Amino acid sequence: MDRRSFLKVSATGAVVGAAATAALPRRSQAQDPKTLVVAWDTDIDTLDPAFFKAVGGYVTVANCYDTVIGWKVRPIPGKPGFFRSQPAEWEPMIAESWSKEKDGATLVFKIRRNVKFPSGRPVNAHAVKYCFDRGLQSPGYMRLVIPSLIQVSSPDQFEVRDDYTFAINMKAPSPMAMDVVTLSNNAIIDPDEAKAHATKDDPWASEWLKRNIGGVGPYRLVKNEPGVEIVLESTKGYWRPAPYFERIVLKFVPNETDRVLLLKKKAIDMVVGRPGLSPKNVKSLEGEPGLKVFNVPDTTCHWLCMNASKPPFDNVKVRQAVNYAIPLQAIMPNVLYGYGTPMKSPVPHLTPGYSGTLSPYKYDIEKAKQLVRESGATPGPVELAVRVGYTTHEQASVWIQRELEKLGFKVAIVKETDAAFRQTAIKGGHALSLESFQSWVNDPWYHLVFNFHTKSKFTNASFYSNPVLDKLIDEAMHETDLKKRAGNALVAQKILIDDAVWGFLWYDSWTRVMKADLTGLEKRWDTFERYYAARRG
Amino acid sequence: MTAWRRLAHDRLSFVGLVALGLVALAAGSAPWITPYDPDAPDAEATLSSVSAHHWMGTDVYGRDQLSRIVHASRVDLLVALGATAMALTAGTLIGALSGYRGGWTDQIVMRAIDAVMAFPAFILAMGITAALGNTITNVVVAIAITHVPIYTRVIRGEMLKVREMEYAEAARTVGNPVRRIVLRHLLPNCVPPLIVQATLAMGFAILTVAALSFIGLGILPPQSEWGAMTAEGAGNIVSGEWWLFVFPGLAIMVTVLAFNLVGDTLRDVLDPRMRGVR
Amino acid sequence: MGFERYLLRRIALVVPTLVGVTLITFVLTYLLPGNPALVKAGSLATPEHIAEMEHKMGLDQPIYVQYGRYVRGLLSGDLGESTSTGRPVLEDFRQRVPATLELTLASLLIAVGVGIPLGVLSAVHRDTLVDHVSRLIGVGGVAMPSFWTGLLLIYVFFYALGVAPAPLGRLGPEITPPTRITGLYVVDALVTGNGRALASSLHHLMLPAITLGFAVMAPLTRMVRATMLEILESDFVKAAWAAGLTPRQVIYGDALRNALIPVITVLGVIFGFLMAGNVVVEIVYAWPGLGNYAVTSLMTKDSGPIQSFVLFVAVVYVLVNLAVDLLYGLVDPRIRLR
Repeated sequence: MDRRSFLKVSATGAVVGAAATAALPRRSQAQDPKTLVVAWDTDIDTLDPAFFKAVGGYVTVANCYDTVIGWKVRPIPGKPGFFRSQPAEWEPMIAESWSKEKDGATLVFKIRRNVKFPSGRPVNAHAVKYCFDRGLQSPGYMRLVIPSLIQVSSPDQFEVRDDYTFAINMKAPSPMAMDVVTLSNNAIIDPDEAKAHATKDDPWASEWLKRNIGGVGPYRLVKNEPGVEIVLESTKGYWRPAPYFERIVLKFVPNETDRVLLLKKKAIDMVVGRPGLSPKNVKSLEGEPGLKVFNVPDTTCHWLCMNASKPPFDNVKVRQAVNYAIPLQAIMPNVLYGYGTPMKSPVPHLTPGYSGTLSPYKYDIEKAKQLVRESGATPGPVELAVRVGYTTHEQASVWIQRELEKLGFKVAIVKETDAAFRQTAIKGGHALSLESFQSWVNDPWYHLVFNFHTKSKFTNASFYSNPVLDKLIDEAMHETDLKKRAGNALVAQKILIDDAVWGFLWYDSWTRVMKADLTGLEKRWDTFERYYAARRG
Repeated sequence: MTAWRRLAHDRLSFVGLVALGLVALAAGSAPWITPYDPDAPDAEATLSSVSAHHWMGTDVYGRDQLSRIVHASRVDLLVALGATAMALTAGTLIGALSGYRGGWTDQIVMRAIDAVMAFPAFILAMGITAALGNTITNVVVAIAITHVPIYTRVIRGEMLKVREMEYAEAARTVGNPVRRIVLRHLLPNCVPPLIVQATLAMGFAILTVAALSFIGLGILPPQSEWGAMTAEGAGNIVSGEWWLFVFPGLAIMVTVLAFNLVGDTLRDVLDPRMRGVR
Repeated sequence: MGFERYLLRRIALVVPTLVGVTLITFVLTYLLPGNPALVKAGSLATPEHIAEMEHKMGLDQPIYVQYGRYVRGLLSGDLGESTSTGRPVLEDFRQRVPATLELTLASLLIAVGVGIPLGVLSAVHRDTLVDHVSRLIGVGGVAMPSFWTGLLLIYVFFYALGVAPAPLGRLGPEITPPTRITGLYVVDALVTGNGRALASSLHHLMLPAITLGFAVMAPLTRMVRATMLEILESDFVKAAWAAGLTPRQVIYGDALRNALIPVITVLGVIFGFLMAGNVVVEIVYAWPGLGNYAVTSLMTKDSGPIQSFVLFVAVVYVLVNLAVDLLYGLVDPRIRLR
């Protein structure tokens, strides 16, 4: 090699750099105002509405499929440009109106006449029935939800009265029926489209619907490149007025530091996801010029889960002691930075029937020590499991660890990935863990049955079993008298608080950081945003 | 003693040697020299910047970062030493067995070693930690497994050479037990390259732990450990707590750099044949 | 020994290695916590549903049957399905390999383009300040965790100075990818004469490639330095000095050429470092490659893609090392005797 070619080799690096620098001026090219650029860290695992999905799958479905009815949103006082859903308020979507029969045991929906699928076929009562039949019978997750929550076990109970009238005939009135109908899992699918892609092994076309959108919504999926981006474009000839944003670009950004820098640099419009940004980073972006922070109290519960089937947490006094030892006064400001509400009840504070005055627990380490002595139990080594990537949980666990050690526990914090954590939890393998739960249906009994009923094997993470409470839940589940529902909810909360089933931590706030010119952002019960009403200015 | 002289002579290596000495000293005396309990949260002092009270600031829990970094040196050196010792022991035994027995044993061992070496070390460590879970022991074991082949190959190579040498033949016929052959003739030839490899491996071990922490597979909190501290602190570059970003990263950099500089010079002196490889 | 025999022997050795590799990845997968059936079935599935899934996925069979099934799958190109993207792993791989390849090659270019001159400088100016600084730069890159340098570079060049593009993958948002020929944007853009795409892709490659290039440079620099030192002290160089050749002619002529031959052997090692470094660097720069995919799968405990990634890297690494050995065997016949 002579000197010239040697220099060539070493100059290559410089050439790469120089050529790249030549591209510089393009960076600040004005972004198309009708395009919304969002950063998140999720892919689409499946688009089948009936399935349980990753956030990426849910958000895409929520924007590309219409449902029979929707949760109605109202402006949030003091937060111009922001809206949220209200308890027991719905708005027409595919159904223009609805009514109840037989004291509410039957729900009747009148379907709009002007809505068409992209194929040109009409959206009618047959299509709506197909979607519910499919939910009940296809391998998804609605086949578990529909029977247990609205007492429908046979497709015959989904009735087409005429081409534009659809009815659900439940065994008895169900207070949760309207919410269940609203879930994006019950999105309306074009039956002919689905049937065209069905096979003998897959009669409900799950394989096809996993990767394709088979319905109508304000947006359609035009690009799905996992690990890169998902692009939605507004649907031509949509039955409602066209949305402001013509394109939604959801960028995959796996690193949180990058997401913060992108916001600060205004290279993206907002960050979404669960959690998307840690409270600390949200706080650091408050007051950043050109950005705004939106946060509203939400129903997601976070608690220190004690396994009631394992000593020493089978001892109620130990559980009470733990509740007195949780340093919430340090956790709220230093972990949540104010984006949360201290937990006072096993029921979320925005849920009907909630009482914030029943709980006696507050940080009192002397009382906690006293209770441990009274319990007769001997605290020893214990593992506290948290999930990788749950920043608030990791941080809270460090604060809690220290206090529990004052009670005589020797706490080892164990980090597990989501799936491993869930698997251990279901088998009862965690003694202590940090758990969270969000009830899509904002109803105390929906929440209580999943978290505390003996038979809820997969979600009752505390392994709490109390026949009295079980009976109460069974009776109240389908109680329609709102007063009775609320009254019984108080009794249930009292039982759970006295038994100190959960170590009370906090209810999350729902936070989003975005460019200052964005408005029309809506927060619904299921937390998945729809971009239909979003706009600039 | 030429090795020592060369180390002292080469200015960079000397600096590296001094740095390593300081880190070892800090690790040894951590409980006596640190001003605070490294694991004690302090709600009053969270995220304080560098000050007279906290020379390297405090973290989100109000823990003194200087105390944590000093204490962390124990964990990191322990991990590096542990992994290296484990790999060295296993590698030596396997290599000696393989080289001594020869034949099928050697074939099987070498194929297994080839298979392990077919993975870039970090990728395999990642796979193993993901499979076993990320406790300190598992991280150490994972790193050790990826390092075993280095030592095995060195020892086996020497073993084969010794076997073929006539003096070994002679020693065997005189009735020298195998153990003595190994101790007398084999080890002196192997020790220099092993020292070189082990020095470099320790730096790698510390970096591996840091990278594992970044992708969520590192050593668990609240144990103070440089890798985890750097991975956590890296996020703070955007929110202004520069001290959480800078200091743990520096601790890693200085230590790994020192291991590398010393290792490189040792290699030049002790093991000229291995120059450049690995 | 002729080159043909060396070639055959070397290739024959690859087979048992690959078998060992599949055994290791299989065992790792089998040990991974997080029942894949459970992950697939969703968190509210009934035990019957999970059992059905396990049966479908063959998880209820003896280990050796599962291994047989696994190898058969591999041979037919079936790498399973990713639960986080809902697509066959092979399809995800096909999408992401070009991104990783592009980053790897660019980093290699930087490592070679910077590392070799540094090594030469270091050797020529032995034990001077130039030597110390060159060595520090060479070793310094490898001593810093690459996520740390990566974030620092993003902070300085993207956020503070604004000269680097947003860490959002391979191209600017307003640029459509060039027509796919190789999948490497830089190459495709060059071939199709797409200037905008070329500039944008080079611009996006800049920081990740520098981060990764510097992190793997050390072995190269020290190898060049060491061999160069050896050669500069050799008889033929002394003879060259004596013959009155200028220092430049000596250093950049025969000396460098001879010093570069052993460098080939380090390329394999560097390639291994690059494949490992990708994992972290791709996450930091949201680079849509295999490493990014592997970590995302790791978080969702999606064993299919992780196992396939580890396997894929190993196979590529084995082949690269094979190529390096053969190349070296061609250049330096002595090696064939070993």
